[in-house]
Amino acid sequence: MKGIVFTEFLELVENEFGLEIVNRIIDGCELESKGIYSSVGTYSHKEMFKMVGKLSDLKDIPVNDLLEMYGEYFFDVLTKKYPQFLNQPNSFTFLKSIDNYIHPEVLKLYPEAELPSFDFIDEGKNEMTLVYKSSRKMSDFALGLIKGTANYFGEKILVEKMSEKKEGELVLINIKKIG
Amino acid sequence: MDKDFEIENLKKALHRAKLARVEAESFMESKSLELYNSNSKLIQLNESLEEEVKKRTKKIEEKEKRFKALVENATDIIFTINLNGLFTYVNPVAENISGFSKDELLLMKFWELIKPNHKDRVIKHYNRQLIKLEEISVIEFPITNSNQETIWISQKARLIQDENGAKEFVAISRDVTETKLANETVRRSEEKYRGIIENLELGILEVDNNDKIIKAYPQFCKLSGYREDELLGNSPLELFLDEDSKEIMLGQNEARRKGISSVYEVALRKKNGEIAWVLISGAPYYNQKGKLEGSVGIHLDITDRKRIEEELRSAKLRAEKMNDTKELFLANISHEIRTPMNAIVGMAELLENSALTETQNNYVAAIQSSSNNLLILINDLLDFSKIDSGNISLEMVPFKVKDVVQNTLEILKLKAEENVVKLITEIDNKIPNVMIGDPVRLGQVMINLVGNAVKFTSNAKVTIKVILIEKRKSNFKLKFSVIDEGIGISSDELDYIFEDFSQAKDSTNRLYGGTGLGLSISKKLVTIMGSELKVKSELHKGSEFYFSISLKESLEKIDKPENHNDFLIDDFKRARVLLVEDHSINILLAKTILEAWNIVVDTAEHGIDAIKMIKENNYSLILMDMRMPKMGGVEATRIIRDQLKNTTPILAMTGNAVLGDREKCIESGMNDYLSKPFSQHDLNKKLSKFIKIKNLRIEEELLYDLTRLKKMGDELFVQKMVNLFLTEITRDISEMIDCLEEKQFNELRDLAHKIKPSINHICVNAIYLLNLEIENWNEEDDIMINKTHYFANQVNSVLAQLKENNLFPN
Repeated sequence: MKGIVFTEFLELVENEFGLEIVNRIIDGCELESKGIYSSVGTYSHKEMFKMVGKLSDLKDIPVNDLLEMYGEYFFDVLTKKYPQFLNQPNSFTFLKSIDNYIHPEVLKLYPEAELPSFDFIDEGKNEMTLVYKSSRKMSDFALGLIKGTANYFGEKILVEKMSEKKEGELVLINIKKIG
Repeated sequence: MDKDFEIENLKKALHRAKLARVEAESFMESKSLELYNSNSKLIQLNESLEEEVKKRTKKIEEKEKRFKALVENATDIIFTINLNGLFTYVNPVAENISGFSKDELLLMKFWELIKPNHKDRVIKHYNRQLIKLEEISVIEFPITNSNQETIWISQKARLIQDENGAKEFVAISRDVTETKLANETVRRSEEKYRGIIENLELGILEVDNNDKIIKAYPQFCKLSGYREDELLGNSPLELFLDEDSKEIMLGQNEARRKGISSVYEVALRKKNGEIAWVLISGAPYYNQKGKLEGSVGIHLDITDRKRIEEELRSAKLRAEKMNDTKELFLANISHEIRTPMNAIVGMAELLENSALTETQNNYVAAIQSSSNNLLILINDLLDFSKIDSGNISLEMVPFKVKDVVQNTLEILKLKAEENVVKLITEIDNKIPNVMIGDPVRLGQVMINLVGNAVKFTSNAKVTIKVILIEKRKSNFKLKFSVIDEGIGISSDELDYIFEDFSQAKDSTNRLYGGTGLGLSISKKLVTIMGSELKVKSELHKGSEFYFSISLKESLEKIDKPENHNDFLIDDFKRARVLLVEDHSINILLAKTILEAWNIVVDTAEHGIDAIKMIKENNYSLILMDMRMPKMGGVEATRIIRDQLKNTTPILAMTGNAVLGDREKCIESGMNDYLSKPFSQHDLNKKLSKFIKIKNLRIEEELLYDLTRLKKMGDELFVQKMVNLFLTEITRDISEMIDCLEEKQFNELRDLAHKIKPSINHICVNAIYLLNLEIENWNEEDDIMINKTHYFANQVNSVLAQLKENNLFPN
């Protein structure tokens, strides 16, 4: 998993909960990287789960919610860092460009990256179903990202999981535009 | 405390941040190095790529240039057309051949050039190629060029395709007008000759090297009765031929393999089982590389011809058989006639030598003359039949031309005297003395020609001329002519005189007699000798019959004839002769003659008797008849020679004067041959040839006579007187000749007087009378001189006879 996911996560934790919590998470997780992350490095996604799990324990917030919150936040980071990918009219077209355009571009820079895939079914003008597929099982993070997307394009949407299979490796996500 | 805790947290975070930065920097460094290396590689790649692109571009340009040159300079037409048929490219050859410029062509569709009656076919052809997406097709068609000339094109078209399917055609075409015309000429010629051959009713059959039929033309099918499909793949050997013919065919096949053509006849079994005779002209045929591919047989049905041939052959055989029968018949007749003739002639001869009145003598002469005429007639008929059946062959023996002519003269001397004809001979002295040929046949022709000449001439001369007209090495061409001054032959009759049984006029026959076969036989004989008997004649002026024959000079000399004198031997000193003869009158005749010559004659009536007698007795000679009951002469002779090993001379006597009989006799072992009827003279000659009698000498006329001396005294006296005569008279006669030469006639008269008593006592009266004449002559003329010479010769002969007879051996 790309280092930026880790650095931005710790940045968010520091901003929201203070440096003490950051240190407690790192100290309490026995991380292989010892909590030293650079945005350009690549680290095991298990460390992310450990840290999110630790945070959940410390603050008594469910892991799902934490991942979703972080997804929403992380999208905001991405918009600032890679505005060139956001040259799309609305969230639906953007979401569709992930598999076709953004991910191929990411792989050019980071050939070792393992990326999830996003297929779309039942596509309509105001509603679509997204098929999330990833061995990382981070559909909640994806949910947050989708919400972040709507925020960016100033759209109001309703996002919900329709079904989960293979312990979260394959998840159908329904997206509806509201109003 | 809080502050310290806070500081502690910050320090940790800072520491992490520093380490993260170091990690990030090292990552960035390695990434940027990677990037740099990749970039360098990229630049290099780019440069070499550019180089490669340049090189390839240049190559492609060169290639294109070469292809263009190739296309532009090709001798074939090269063009492209799009799927609508429009020309999209044409090379210069296309312009040359079509006569249209490039610009004109590029506005045309390609089928506009095709001759109208071929357009549909060509368009269909290319549509099919297009539909089936065939890559390459070839077709020939004629186009019309700008000068309205027809040009035959052979066109190979490639269909070009890309990812969207068929795109265009690229075609290479060639002007094949000449080939096409040549092919057309060949095709027409082939059609013409095939037509001719088929109409010639010649059945043509082609077989391959394995003798399998590969083509049968209609006429052959008609001939054999098979359809072509029944023939193909079969062997003619198995299909048509019987065992006998197979041999012939196998031999022919062998010849074909050696490249030999030949013509042969063979019997061919037709489908319906009938036999057709065919004349086959077989020839090998070769492919373009000169390799033998098989053979062609041209069959001509000769069944009809064959049948006619067969009929002719059997007709010929029948005719030959008939001819043989005829010949046999003639031989029989000949024998039957000659046997009584022999009796008539012989008896007439005996009669002639007996004491007859003049009237009787005339009767005998008439019998002899008629017999001789009858003999000539029979001989003519026999010869004619013999020549007619082609059973005559010429002898090749040494002979003298002079003798042939002389013999002719001898035979016709009497007749010439009768007709008051003077016979003249002119023989070229450049002609060699001895030649090789058949003197008998030559003589026969001469006797006939001279006989005719004498017959039709009177009070004039007949000339026999033999001249040398050409000499080449040892070949001498002689011209024999018989020229008469007789009645001649009119020009319209000249054509017929050589024909069988013809005479110049029917009236001629009545006037002059004869069979009319003589000239015909002569002409045929001359033809057999390799020449032609010709005649020149003028009516009332005379005729000339002539021919030229080539003879070789003989290297051997002719033996002197055994007995050239005409003396008959009348005493064979009781030599014993066996006469084998069945005809009683002829036995009587022969016995009468032979016994008169002091010959002891035993007789046998046939061969079996003869053999028996020969076993028991010794004979000096056997006279053998040919035809006898029980056993004939030829058979008997074979037994005598082969089984008895007896070499007693055998003389055949035969009435079969047919040519070839002599050969038959000699072949069986006989020594000589006497044709019936024979004269006493002929018989005597033959006898003297074979019966060798000791001290037998030719009976000369004795010029001395000792009877007077014998009356005067005893033998001793006679001996003394003869001896005295021999010494005295020898000297006196030589003296007498001297006187004669010196013309001392008085001395001569004295000598005659002196020898008179001796001559009177010893010589014959005639000499004594001469002696008296000489003693008393007065005139010294030539007659007396000749007489004296003759007298001297006669006395010398007396001396010789006395010495020779050796009357009183010491």
